[in-house]
Amino acid sequence: MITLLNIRDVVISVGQQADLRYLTKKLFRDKALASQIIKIIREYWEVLRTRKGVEEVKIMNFCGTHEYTTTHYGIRSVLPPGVNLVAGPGCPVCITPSFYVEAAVRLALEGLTLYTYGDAYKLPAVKEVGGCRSLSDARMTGADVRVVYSFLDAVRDAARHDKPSVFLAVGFETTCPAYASSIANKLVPKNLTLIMAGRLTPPAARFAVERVGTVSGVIAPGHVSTITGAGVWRFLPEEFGIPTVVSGFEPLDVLIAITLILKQLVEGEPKLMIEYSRTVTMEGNRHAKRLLAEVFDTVDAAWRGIGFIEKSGYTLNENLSQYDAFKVYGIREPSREEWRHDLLPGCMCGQVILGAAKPTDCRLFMKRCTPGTPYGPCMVSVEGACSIWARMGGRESLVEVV
Amino acid sequence: MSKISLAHGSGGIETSSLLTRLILNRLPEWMKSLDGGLGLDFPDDSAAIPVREGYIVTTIDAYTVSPIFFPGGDLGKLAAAGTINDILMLGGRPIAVLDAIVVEEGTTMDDLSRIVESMISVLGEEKVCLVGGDIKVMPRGQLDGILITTAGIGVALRIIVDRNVRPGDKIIVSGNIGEHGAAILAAQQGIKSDEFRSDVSPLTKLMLPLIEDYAEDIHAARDPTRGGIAMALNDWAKGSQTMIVIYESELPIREPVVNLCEMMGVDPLNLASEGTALLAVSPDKADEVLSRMHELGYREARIIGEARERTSSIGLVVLKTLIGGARILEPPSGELVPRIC
Amino acid sequence: MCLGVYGKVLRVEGELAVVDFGGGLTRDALVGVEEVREGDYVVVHAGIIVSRLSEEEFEEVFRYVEEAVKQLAMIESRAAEYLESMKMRLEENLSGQK
Repeated sequence: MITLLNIRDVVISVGQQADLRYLTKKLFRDKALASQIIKIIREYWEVLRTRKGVEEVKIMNFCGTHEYTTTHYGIRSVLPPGVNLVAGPGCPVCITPSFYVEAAVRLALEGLTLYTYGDAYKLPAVKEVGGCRSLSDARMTGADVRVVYSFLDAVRDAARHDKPSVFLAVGFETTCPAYASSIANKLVPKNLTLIMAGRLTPPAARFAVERVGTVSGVIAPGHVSTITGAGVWRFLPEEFGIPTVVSGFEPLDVLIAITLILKQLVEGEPKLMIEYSRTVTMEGNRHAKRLLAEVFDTVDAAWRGIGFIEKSGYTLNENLSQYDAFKVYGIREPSREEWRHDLLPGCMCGQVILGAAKPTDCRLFMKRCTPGTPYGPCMVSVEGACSIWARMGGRESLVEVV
Repeated sequence: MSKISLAHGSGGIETSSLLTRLILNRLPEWMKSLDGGLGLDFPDDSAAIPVREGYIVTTIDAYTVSPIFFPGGDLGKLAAAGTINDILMLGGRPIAVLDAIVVEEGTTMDDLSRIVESMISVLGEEKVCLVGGDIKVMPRGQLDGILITTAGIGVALRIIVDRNVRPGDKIIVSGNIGEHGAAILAAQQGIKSDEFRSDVSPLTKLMLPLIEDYAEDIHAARDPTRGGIAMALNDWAKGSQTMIVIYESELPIREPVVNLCEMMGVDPLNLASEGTALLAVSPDKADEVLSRMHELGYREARIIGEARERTSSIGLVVLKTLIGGARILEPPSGELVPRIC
Repeated sequence: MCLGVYGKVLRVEGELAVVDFGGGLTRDALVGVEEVREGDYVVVHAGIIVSRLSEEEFEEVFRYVEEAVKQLAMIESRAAEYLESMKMRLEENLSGQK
């Protein structure tokens, strides 16, 4: 049997130290390698179809960045027709409850400096506050809204001007350590507080597979898993019998993850695999997990368009209330009983997020709701399934044409 | 009530729909262009007014950029080069420019002088006259720094109109794409690196010889500024009813620009170039034009795709991806902001 | 859900590290991992180092592919050919490494 060569030996034999940034792009975006893996995928599909009578393989990618890779590189267009990729609840912007956006807009209009990331900046709320639906609207009316690349940038900027400031802190396990680390290291200036909207992904993944039911395989989020460890996904194969592969974000990573899921389906032995082993371990990032535990409590929390999910939200713990914008500015978070369905009429984002509907199933898609004038949350984030489909077309088999 | 947002000025879908609603829909057909000329009947880089022999080519653009001084250039250079390039892209030879400068109260005389000096020096090098202008001052806070509007005038024997892309045409780009947009993005994000320099420069040395020798073979020409090549290609495909196929592997994008884009989560195909030309050239002359471009010093020039017969079911610009997949390349939409996911 | 960029650590200054993202693009980032040293390759997400990259593991993923191919080959297929092509391609790629 042929064996693949030892990458390390080759690199060393060429007499150079591998530049892993360069190596990643070179190996994991390589067309020739991709075309071979695509052939392997097609063979597996044939085996499943002809020998096992499988009619459809539905693979869910929880993570919006996987959805981005999928559409950006046109991966759907090279897969056999029976192998379908569906998007899951993995966009931290899409699932941020309207309530937080409304609170942020209100504080911005009251004269506070509001910071957030580019994606959350455009996120529309259900209710208008002072004629504004989003922080970008608030900026148009003169509010001081600043788009930053990182929490660290906001920390530094706020320290310079000393005006009362708020950060709309969205994000999953990958993003939240930046808040935790800055707070724990006492980098955050007194004038900066957070609207803490952080969320945990495994509870939502459980929620999605319980509701959707027919998932044949899961591509689990790579960067979330760097923090949590791949181990948090064990319940998918063990309790639900779903082959699960933690994958990286290059096109070959996704193709290999698909291969490994198909392989498991042929074997009939669902298990958890780490395709992204170059940076993901079973245990995850102990340091970051310790910071998260130190700074946040895990609570039942609302997901936009979905509702409350148990133990799925981060809040700042009691003794750090000086950083909590809600405590400092006297805003009360709605309880489970008070929480209302926070999508606009007709919007199907709730189902799209759960992988139960495709963006094109929504009658507002590309009519009332476009990337320029988003109506539902999934159209806002570059990573939202609707936005991605709108911009890149997740729909057609274009390869024959080209 | 709907309001003007920054997205309306980003050069993507919102800009074109605003222009359609605000201006084009208000104009009766006769007002859009002069007989035998080109105007808002088909919005291109410039307009053309027929004269006895050929055309007067004319254009107007308002320039605003933050910061006004950026690696590789400044607002003045941008205003001069941008207008010169717009004339060139319609097949014209630029001869004169007029300018209108609006300055915010409190701007330092030094900054203003440097900007104007820079504009004049570009015009001078290109032998373009500055034949008129205006200057206004706005109260502090009502304008962010300086705004320059330049109108350009050129002459052409024949014009290159972007609705004439034909199936089979090769799409050629004259150099690395997204350089200006990347430099501005880096400057706005406080990234200091020698790697990011705007490509802002007049394309005279490239375009005048090409216009001279290949005016009939170049079916479309554009400098892909705001909205990047994604916008330019979509305009072409729509305007000329063709499908344009682009090969991702052939796109000249420098690695630092790719890295910056990946870091900020923006698409280099949406980033502006200010000294790069995009051409659609008839297939039998494409290689000849390409080697001529190389000779003229545009060594990175290359064929990045081609136009095809339009097929009904699919989008107008299709990108063949690095791994052999395909996706529709949509025109950009919304404001360009960094993202985390 | 989370954009991660690969970089190389230039130096560590307390809770911050200066990271080179290639081509002279450097930024500082919070150190979100246990330990990080000059020369380490790391994954940075929104201004924080979330993990390190392991060089050894780069080939692991191709071993998975190899196992898949072996399995296919047992069933019947031309998979062995694909593997051979992949091997050649990997070799080409790596010998041209910068």
